Amino acid sequence: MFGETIFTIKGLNIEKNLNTLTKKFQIRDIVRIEKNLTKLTVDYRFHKAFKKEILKLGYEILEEKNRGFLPYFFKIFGNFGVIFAFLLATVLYIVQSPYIWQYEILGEENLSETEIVEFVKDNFSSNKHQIDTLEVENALYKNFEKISFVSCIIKGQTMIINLKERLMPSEMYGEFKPVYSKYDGKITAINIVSGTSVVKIGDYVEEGDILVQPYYLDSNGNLQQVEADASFTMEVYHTAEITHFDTRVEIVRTGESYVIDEIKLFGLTIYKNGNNINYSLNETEVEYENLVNNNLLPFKLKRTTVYELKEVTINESFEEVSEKIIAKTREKALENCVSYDTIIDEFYTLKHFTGATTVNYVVVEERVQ
Amino acid sequence: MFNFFGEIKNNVKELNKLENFNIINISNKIIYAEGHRGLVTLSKEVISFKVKGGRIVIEGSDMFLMELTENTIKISGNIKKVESF
Repeated sequence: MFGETIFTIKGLNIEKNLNTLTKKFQIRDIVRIEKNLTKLTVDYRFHKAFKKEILKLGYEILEEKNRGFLPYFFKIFGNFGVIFAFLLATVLYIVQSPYIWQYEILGEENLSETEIVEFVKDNFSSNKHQIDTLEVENALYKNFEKISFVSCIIKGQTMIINLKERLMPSEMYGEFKPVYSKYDGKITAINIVSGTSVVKIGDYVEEGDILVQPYYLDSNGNLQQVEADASFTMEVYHTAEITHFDTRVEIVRTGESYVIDEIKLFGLTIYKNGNNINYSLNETEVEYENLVNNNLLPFKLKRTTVYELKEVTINESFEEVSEKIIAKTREKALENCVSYDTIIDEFYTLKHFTGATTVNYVVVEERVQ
Repeated sequence: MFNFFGEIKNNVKELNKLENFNIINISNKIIYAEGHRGLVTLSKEVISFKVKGGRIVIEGSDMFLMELTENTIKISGNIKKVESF
């Protein structure tokens, strides 16, 4: 199918050897031309092995002729000159191709290289004969405010864009956003780096209030935008409140409970053990446990525990438990503190009502933002 | 798969046990044989090969082996005589 080799061999007693050779090779079109001359055909894929075998048997090969696609293919691609010419032609094609293969951006610092390349790709052809580099330069200059100078050349298959960005003080870069307060509290110290402060020492601010605006007034009275930058020291107040009732109703567990076990597979109940008991007040806890370690059949155990509850009336005056309630309120107020080392003051107030007392605890912390 | 030789043997009960060799002659131009035991003579005029229990001799002119495998043989040419010894 792909090729064949026709051998003309010289030698006697070919019949006997053909019987041996047919065990290894497919031989066809065997013609005895003369008594000691035979012509036969073998598949091109085995021609080398067949040749070796024939020579080993002591025959002389007078002629070897190849036919078909494979011999032709190997003849061409087995020739180093042809391979070299093919590679050279490929390289030349790539080098001489009219398309831009690569973009090189030089001099970008704050601008994104990807953004510039995408802009050029979207707005200009990749065929270098259709690109006017002056147009590319103008388009880049108009569309990118930060560019102060740009040059563009095409070298081979590469477009080189060399640009210089506008020189501005570092604080004049950015999004010009104000500085907002991160906490509720009282300002105790201000350190402005750039921008205009809109608060003063002693002011009470809330979280989200503007502290510094991103501009300043120059000597001519014009508003100049800058990146707002400042640090503030603040007294931050953390408060907590707990109300104690002298007479109150609490719900507690009676100690009675029951358990319902269910085996589930893909959310379906396969097996259930346990019966429901009706409690007038109850509390339920559910636990899941994997019964197998694979995901093929993920059997799970669902254990539902139902506890019976009851209402208990507790009579307890504030004086009896005041220390405990105050400590509890303090603990609650301390929850938002970053560190105990930064606490500078703490105090509490009590409000008495009929049968109830409210404890209000305040922890004052010093924070810098 | 249809087997020509098998079909003939099935129709003639006595042939069922004959498994030595099969030869088919197509218009005296092609001889196809299966079950050969080795080529004995090869020339344009005479081709002979061994089979189980004897030898087959084919005479003719301009004959050649179209195909030769371990147990089949295909001969082409002007076939005049096929003899079994």
